[in-house]
Amino acid sequence: MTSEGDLPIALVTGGSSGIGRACAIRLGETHEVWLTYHRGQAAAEAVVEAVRRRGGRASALPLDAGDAGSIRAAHARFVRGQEGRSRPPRLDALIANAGTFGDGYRFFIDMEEEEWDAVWATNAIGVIRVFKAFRDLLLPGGTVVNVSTISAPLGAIGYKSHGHYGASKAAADAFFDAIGDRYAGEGLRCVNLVPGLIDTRMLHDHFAHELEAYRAAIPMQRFGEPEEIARLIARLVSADPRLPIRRIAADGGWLQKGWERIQAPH
Amino acid sequence: METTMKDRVALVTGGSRGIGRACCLELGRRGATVIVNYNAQRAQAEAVAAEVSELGGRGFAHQGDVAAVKDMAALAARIEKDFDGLDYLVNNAGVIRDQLLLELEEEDWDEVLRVNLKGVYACTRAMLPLMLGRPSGPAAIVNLSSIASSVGSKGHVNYAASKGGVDAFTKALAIELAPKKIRVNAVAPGYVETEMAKEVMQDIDPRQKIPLRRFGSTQEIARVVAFLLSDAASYVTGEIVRVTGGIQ
Repeated sequence: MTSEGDLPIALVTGGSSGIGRACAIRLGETHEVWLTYHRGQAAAEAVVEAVRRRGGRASALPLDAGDAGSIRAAHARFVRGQEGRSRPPRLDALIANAGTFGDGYRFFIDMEEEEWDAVWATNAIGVIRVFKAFRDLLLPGGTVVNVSTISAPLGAIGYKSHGHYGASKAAADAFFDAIGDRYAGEGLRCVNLVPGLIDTRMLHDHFAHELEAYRAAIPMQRFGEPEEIARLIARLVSADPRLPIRRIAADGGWLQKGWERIQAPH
Repeated sequence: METTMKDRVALVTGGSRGIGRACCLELGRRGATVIVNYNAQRAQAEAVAAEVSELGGRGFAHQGDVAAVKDMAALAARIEKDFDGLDYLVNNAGVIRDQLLLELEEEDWDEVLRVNLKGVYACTRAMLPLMLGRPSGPAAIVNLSSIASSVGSKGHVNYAASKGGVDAFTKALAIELAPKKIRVNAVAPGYVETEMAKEVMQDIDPRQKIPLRRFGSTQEIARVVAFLLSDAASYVTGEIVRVTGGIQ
C-alpha cells in the first residue's frame, strides 16, 4: 500500500451510490478518495470499505450540497483530515457529482416552490458553493469534473416533468464553462461531463415504468454502466497524459438523435 | 491509465505529417499495428511507419488518395489480406486552400470538399466491412473536424463547409452504426502547430485569443483521438469533441 501523502487526492460528492459510488471505487485505485454523502451514511461507509479492501485509501464526509453550513463543515473536516502530513492540504480532482431529482413525476408547474428550490439549492447553487469552498485547495494541474446530465442539453429527454432537473444542471454547466475560461491560464481544468441514461438506482426510481422504451430509444440500445462512466472520469482526471478537453457527452449517441428523441415515451 | 492497443489494427489517413503523424505515433506507442496512409509524401510516411515500429507498435506505409474510391478499395483489400480486418479508423487526411470567397476559384472549392469530405465518405465506405465483428472488441472511428466548423472566420468558406460536413457525417453515421456497437466521434482542434496551419496562425496572438494562452500541439490532439478510440470512451458516440485551448 502506498504511504499516506503520496497519492493524489480526489473528492467525490454524492459518492454513496450510482455514478459517484462507481467513481469513488475506481478512483480508489489511483487516488486517495474522499467521498461525501447526504443521507446514505451506511452506503458511504460501505464504499469506503470497498476501496480499502482493494488496498486503497478512502474516507467518508457528510455534506448536504443544499446547505452552505454543511459545505463549510465538510471543507473544515477535509482540511483537518490532512493535518500532520508532510505537505499542505490539497485537492487534485473534484468530482462534482451530488445531485437531486426531486419528485420527477410532477410537471414543474405543479411542483411546490420548496421542492423546486431544493433541487436548485443542490444541483445549481450547491455545486457552485462546493467549488467555491474547495477552490483554494485545487492545485494548478487540478481537475474539476462536473457531472451534468443529458437532461441539460435536451431539456426534458422526452419526458415533460424533467425540466426542473435539466434546467438546474444546465446552470451548473454554464458556471463551469465560465470558470474553465477563468482558470485555464492557471492550469486548473473544468470538464463538463454529460452522461446519458446510466443504469443506477435514480434511473430505476424515475423511469421504472418505461425502462424498456427508453432503452430502445438509445442508439447504442443500452444504458450506460456506472463503471464505464467511472472509467471515463478516471481518464479525465488522470494527468498521465492530460486530456485537453472541456466537455464530453457519454450518452450512447442519444444527443444526436434529433427528432427521434421526442418520440421517447411519455 | 492508458488502455493498451496491442492486437488492434488502425488506419490513419494522411499519416505522414502533422496531426495524422502524431496519431500514428500515439497509437504505435500503445502497441497498435498502424497503417500510415499517405498520398504524396512517401518518404515521410515510411519514416513515420518506422517510428511506430520503434515505439512498440507495427507500422506500415500505404499510398492512396482518400477521395478515390478505387484507391480506397485497393487499400481495404490490402488491409484485409495482411491484417484480416480493421479496429480503428482515423479519418485525418485534409487540405486547405484558403481564399476570400470573391477570389475563390472553383477548383479550390472542389479540391477541399473532395479531400476533406468525400475522402471521409470514400475511406469509411471502403473500410467499414472490415470493421464489423472484430475479435478484440467493437471497432471505432474518429474523424478530424476543426474549430472552423463551428466558429466563423474569414477566408475559410471551403474548409469550414467541408468540416461542417464532417461533423454532420459523424453524427449521422454514429446513429447508423450504434446498433453494431461501432462508435463514431470527431475531434475538432483549434489552433494547432502544424505546417498546414502555419499561415493561418501568423495573424493570431494566442495570449489574447486562447484561454490557455498557447497553441495546441499535434500530440495533444492525438491523445484525444486515442482516448475516443479506446474503451475509456465506451459510451461516447456521435460526439464532436473540441480541443481548442478553451475557445468556445
